[in-house]
Amino acid sequence: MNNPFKTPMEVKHPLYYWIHKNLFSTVGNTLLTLFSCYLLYLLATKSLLPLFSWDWTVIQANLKLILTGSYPNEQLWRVHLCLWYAAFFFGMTFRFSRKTPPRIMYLLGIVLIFFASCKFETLHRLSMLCILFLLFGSFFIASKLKKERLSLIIIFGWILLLPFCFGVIRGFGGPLPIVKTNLWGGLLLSLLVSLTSIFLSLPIGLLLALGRRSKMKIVKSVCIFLIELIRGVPLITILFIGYLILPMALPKGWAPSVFIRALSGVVLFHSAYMAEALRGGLQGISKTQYEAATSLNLSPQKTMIFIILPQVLKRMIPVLVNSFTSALKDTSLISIIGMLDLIGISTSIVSNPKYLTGSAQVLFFEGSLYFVLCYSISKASVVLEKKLGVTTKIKK
Amino acid sequence: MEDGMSLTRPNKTNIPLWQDTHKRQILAQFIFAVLVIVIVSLLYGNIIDSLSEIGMIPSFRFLRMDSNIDISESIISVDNTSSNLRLIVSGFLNTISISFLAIIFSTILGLIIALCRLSTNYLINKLAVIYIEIIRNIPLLLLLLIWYRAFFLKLPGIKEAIIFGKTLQEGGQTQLSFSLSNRGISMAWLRPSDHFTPFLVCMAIAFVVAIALGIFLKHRENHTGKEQRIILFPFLLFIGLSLISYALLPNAALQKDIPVLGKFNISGGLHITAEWFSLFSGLILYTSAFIAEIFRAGIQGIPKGQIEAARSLGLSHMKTIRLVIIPQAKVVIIPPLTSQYLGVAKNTSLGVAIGFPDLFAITGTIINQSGRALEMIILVMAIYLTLSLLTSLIMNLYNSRIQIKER
Repeated sequence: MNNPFKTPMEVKHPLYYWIHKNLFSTVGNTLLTLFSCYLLYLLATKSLLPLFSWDWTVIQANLKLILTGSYPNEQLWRVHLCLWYAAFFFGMTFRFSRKTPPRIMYLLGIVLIFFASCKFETLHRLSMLCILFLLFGSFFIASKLKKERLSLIIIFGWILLLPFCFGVIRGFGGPLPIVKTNLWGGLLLSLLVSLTSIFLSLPIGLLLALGRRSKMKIVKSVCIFLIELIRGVPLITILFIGYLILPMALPKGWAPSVFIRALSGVVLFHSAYMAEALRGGLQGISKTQYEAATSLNLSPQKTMIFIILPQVLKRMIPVLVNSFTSALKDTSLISIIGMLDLIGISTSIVSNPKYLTGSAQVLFFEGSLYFVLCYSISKASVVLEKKLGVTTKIKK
Repeated sequence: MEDGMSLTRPNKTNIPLWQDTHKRQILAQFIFAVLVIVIVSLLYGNIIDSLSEIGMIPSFRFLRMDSNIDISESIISVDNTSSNLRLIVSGFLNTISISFLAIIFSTILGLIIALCRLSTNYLINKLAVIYIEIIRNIPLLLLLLIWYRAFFLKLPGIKEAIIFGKTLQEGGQTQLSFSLSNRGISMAWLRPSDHFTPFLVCMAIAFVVAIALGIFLKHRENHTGKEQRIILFPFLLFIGLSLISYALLPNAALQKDIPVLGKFNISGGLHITAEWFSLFSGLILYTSAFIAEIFRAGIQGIPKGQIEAARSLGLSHMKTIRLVIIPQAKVVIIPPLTSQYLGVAKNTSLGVAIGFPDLFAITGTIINQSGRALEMIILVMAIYLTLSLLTSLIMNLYNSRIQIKER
């Protein structure tokens, strides 16, 4: 840190030096600074200030609709249950990576306390506090556990997240009456569809990637054909195949719901992209690994399962996390085939004559939701990449 | 030789079938092929069954039939008596033209943003970072909807349109140079007149002459070793010759087309619909953020030693960029740039959400009208696939040409 080559100026007036160096070092630089100041001024007066003068009641009135669609009000605690589950494992994962709670946890805590103090129903406010408690509680619990056991718990916890959420949110009769998929909507639907597409496209993509690298000609060509076909067309055509062709192609009486049709399209699409990412990961494994495994007399199957895949998957964790953001963004297209996801619900809100003028507000709110989610996830993937000590760059 | 063979390859008859890798692979492939054929034929059979139940045998004959569809904008002339095929062609042209323009403009904007991102100026650097992060973390669909619903549809109608350069003509007409309303943008424009062909011929001649000059300069550079301006002089020559021919030709090759304010609409001039502009600007904003990151990675990936070495050889700043940085950055930039360009062509299909009649939107309308879902989806997939295969073929050829040749 201590740079011996400091000019006297830098030592005497560090602030002045910094401003001079970064803003006004040359004439061109000064002009750029003035130009960007002008841009900032325009941004502030033309787009940020008007935001405050807008009428935001449309968001207040439709917040529940935007977040969960028409999910029945008396069953909302099930959504909270899923949030608690996620919060619990978030806390544990944070403990896994560092000893003290990271800044992001305090930030989350402040946000949660803020929401808990807002004028929501008591259930939601209590749930916020519960999430806060679970987040820090699980961090504390995790510090009592051994590292090996902790990592096992975390991995299983995240793998079981999706079945848990589906089980709780859809329900199976008894204490949890079935909530049909056409009632799901808003952020809940977007998150569930994109999570499922990641979870399902990983195994399918793995099979496709292995097939593409296989020496068997027929298997290889079928896999290449599928991958290139899907990657060559827009997502929306794949969604239309799921929406229009799938019900025809399945035997009579199966009649998949719109949810399943949309989901199958998204999963198919992401599998092809996942396959390419995994192929990159597989290519990154050095040849000596295969040779060492062979010289230990491991069969090709065992080499793949015990030697190659663990390394590839560890390397792929940041990529997986990052591909969640692209899945979340791509999922917005299911609104075109009539699903009421985050984008679709905005159309139905605005079609209510009461909120005709609120389209800009709803869209901006949803945009900021998307931004907060995607930005934090992609930052998390960068942190994970550093923590796991892996680079996703492909070696030639 | 014989002994060696027998050592490395033992007699095949000794190996049981399930342990012979080669035979096992053949068997596995056979089973796999049978499985694939069975599944595909089952699915296809089901599709045919359910189609014939509602009395529809898959055929492409409907393409010749009248479409009964009106579309809002098209490059070739179409109306509701045009055949479905002609409609698809018009949608294809819309897709191609908008993606071509979007690719060019987003590359330029992406380059500018990448330069801002690399600038040492703190403010401009941070502004570029904010821009890139916001755009990259928002779905394109939302960006399009914000442009369309929150910007264009909020603009005043045609009667209270925002107008610049209003002039009252003698016939009581109001001419204007630029107008912005919820129907889109109208502005004064130059259009080719009836006497355009001679000018085109002159331009072609000028182009040939410019190329010849370029070849001559390159030749002289190779011979004398003195540096020539291979790009600048031919370019200036081309522009100059074109301008001179335009001035000398007896009839003007271009004519002014000025929009006229009518009672209910604005006619004439260059009209850009709100849908077209929303899709275009949304695509540019979205793609440029990704392209900027690609450019930045390419430029930052060059080792600092390369630049220092170039400077110590006495190359000027511009020459360092032209001869050292760009050739090396190109190699890293081209492959991801290709996939971005392909992405633009695919992303135009989102125009369906805001009512821009691109290939996919027209496909959707035809499916609704004729119920020919299977045929239309096969057709549209084939078109997109050809398009992306062609693009990647061209870019791969270019890529293999510029790859650094290693000894």
